[in-house]
Amino acid sequence: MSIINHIFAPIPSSHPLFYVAFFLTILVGLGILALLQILPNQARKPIIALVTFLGGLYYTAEFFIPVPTGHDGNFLSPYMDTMSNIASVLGCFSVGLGIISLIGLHFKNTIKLKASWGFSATLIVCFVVMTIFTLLDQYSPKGMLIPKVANKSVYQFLFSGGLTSLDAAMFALIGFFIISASYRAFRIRSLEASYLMASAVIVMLGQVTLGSALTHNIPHAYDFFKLENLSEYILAHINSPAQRAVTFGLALGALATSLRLWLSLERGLYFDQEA
Amino acid sequence: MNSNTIWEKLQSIDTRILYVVTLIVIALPMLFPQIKLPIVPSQESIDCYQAVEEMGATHKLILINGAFSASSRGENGWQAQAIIEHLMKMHAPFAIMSIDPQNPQLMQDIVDKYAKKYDYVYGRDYVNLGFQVAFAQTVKGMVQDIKGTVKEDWKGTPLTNIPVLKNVKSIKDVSGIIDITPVASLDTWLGLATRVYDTPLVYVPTAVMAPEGYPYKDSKQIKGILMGVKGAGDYEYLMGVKEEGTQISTILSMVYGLIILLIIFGNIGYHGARISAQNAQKHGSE
Repeated sequence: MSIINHIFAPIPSSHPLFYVAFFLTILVGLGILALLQILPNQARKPIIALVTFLGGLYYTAEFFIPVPTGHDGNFLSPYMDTMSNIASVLGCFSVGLGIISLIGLHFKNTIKLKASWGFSATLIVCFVVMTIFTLLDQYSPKGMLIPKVANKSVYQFLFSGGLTSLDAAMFALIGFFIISASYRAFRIRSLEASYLMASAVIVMLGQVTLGSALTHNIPHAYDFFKLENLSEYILAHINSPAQRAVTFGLALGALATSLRLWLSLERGLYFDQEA
Repeated sequence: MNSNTIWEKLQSIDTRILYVVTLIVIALPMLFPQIKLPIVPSQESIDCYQAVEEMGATHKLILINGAFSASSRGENGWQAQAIIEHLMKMHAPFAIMSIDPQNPQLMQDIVDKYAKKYDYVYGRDYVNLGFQVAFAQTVKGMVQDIKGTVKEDWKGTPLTNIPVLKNVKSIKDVSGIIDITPVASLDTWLGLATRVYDTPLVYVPTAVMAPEGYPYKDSKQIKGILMGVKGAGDYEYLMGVKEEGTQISTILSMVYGLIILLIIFGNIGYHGARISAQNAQKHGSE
């Protein structure tokens, strides 16, 4: 069985056979994909269902089979690395698929000069520039001259100066909308709404220093009535049981969905749609 | 109903005015850092601080999971900064792993900020494991074999060449896990990792995610919850430093105060208008 681990183990780029393994893997991968394409739907579905089932079976069995005393895992545990490698590769495929879909869509928008094509063009330019400079930063050989901006590598400049600032600014805008929305929507129209309002105000104030400042002078004997303690009480004794109930419900739902996915019973599968 | 009554006006303040007032409230403590509200750390923050202190005291590796990107850096960034500075103060070795592609660089920036001050050297004192694609599978793998699962750091150096990981094989050799997150990563750590060797876990979420952690705090499956920006401010207070967490904590306080004030205005307007309309109806019928 260690042969399986050996076959699926990643080879470092410094390894003499790295490029041979790399191209062989690509060839085998493309071969499998081509084979799946040639097969009719009726034959393809059971193959994918079988692979999904085996993948799920491994993780389920590894989790539930008891570990013998004095051991770190059961007889399936040594293959966890291999399974992690396969999962990582599949994860990378999904990232790649997302990129192809995104760029394809925006490329079409740009070429056909559709509405807001400028945004699509900006996305493509940013994507290409960021990719080039990230790859240069990560993989450029030592001693290679990489241009710098403000004493930083272009990648650093684009990442810290561009991406993170824009991302943070966009998210920060939500704060303004929340303020406007809570002002317009939060009206005490019923008894239930007043409970909600009271608990929201207590928890909000209890979570910030303003709450502590407002009730700072309450005598020690009445500490419970300090806003931070009231907030803590609501979270730990009222929210927590409700949260626990929600978690149970979610877990049951997730279990049912996982079972359907694992056994390929989920409706609306790609194959059903094609049929 | 007359839309120009004081009650109606209280209910319909122009959005542009709200935005300008918000901007001023946010900017004031930034322009005048002397505006500071007293910090009273919550019990959760104290528990969290003590748990990190205990992890650091063992001088075994601490695993930090960074799940935040630039969008939630406003909360998670300051929490991460406070905790990393605390670890560096104790000279505790740590490894950073990320489940968001932006996170390895964001975490590295935080470490770089303090590395010189606390004489932290990459590889010797800490390691950045980089972005991990399949989170649950990675965690499951790390429980058995960290180097076998992750293999390389974020710059492609094999983990077998990283001195700080020399005596580390699996989660068993880790003194604790710190999950700094704006997403639902807690269940994965609890379900797949901490239960195996009873590894202590500290939960460091954004404020909106924090209620999810309370049932697990109650069952003692997590050692502490550091909640949002308030948590970052509390942590700095407990460490005896006043940095961005303290300042942003004040800003957040003032914004929350503004929100509550506006809600009160809106409700005074709503009920005032209702009473006024009832009175008008009563007089009309007379």
